[in-house]
Amino acid sequence: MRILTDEEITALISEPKIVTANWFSRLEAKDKAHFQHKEKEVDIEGDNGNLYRVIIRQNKLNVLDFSIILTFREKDSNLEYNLLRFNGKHPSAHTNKWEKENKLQEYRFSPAFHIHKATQRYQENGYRIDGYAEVTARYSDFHTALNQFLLECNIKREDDGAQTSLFEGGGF
Amino acid sequence: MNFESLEKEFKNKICDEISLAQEGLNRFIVFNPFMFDDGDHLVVLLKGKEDKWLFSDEGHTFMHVSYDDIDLDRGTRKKIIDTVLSNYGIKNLEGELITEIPDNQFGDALYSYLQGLIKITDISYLSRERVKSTFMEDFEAFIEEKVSPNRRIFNYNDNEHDPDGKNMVDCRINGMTHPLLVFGIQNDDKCRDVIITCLQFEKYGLPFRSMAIFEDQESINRKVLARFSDVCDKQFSTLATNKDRISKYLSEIIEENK
Repeated sequence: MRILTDEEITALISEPKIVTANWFSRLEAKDKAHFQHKEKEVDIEGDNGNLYRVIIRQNKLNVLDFSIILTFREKDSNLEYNLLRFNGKHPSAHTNKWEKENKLQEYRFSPAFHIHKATQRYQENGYRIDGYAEVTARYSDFHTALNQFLLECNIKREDDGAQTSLFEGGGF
Repeated sequence: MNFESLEKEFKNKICDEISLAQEGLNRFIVFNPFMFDDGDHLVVLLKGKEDKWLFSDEGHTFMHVSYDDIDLDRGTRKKIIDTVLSNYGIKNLEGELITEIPDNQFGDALYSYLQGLIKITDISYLSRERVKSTFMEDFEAFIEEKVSPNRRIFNYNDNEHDPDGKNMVDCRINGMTHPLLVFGIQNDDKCRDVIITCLQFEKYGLPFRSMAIFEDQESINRKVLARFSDVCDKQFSTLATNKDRISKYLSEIIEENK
């Protein structure tokens, strides 16, 4: 795997990704047999031709426990890079390993809505690309998280120059 | 620092890493220092149910491991998981991992439960890039998902011309004018075997179409691949990145050749 630079990561996340109006309905997660979560994965292409996948997981036993992930799929290989992950408030802490190793303050936080973001420093130091996370107040449940995720990943309807809320746009 | 002071500090530091916080009725978060690869800590909840205490992950562990697009419900991975759960006395209730705590032995039960969860998180290391042996399982699972049981035969051989099964086909898809012979290819040896099989089927005079899915086509010797390209009708360079294309191709060919 190659190392994605911070600039590259930011550019990939913000690359416009135009989808059809009915694309949003494909995001509805389905029960995964024999497991306590729902899941969904939907492919998407950016304006510059880059390939992405939106991955959704929702815990059926705890509605606050969910993940919405943007993955970058490198062409002509089977390599995938998690760029952004909007996590719910799962009942456990999170530790930013690089910050802990470098003795920085506040490397750990208690259960909270949080966002994992790919960073160059985590890759360069042998950690998972999306090992860094920070607490967020930008959403408070799955639906607000999904709306915010679509906004920040620049996923837009083809017939709508401005970002349309999922709920206004005929989503689920 | 004398031994007693050292021991005291040692115990304090270790104990500080484990704590409880109540969240709901008879439901307590067990904070612990053990983590997934991404820095999220393992989810452990202490719950009181019908005069008993138990630990539960409320289905989080499998959900977290599934972020990496790993199929946990079949093949090698399932066997490993079943063994781990059995070894550590953990029950799998449709994806929720629980262990009952006998006689309030919270410590023993917690250590055992955490060990089991850690072993399960290690399944991530069996990702498609790290363990080649799961490729054929993934291949079969994919075909099972895309082709109905009455249209497919795994591990097919032509009984009339090859009763000993020397030229095996990973999956034969039926119901069309010409059957589709599908092969999963992990390495040069398998690629050579498939060349021979396709040539033998030609020799038998049996009409067929062929399709191959490589684990990683780039790893195949160029000369072998060149010969292979002469005999195979359709190739996909990997399974992981071509699922949509393979699915579309299968649908089209099955419909067109009814």
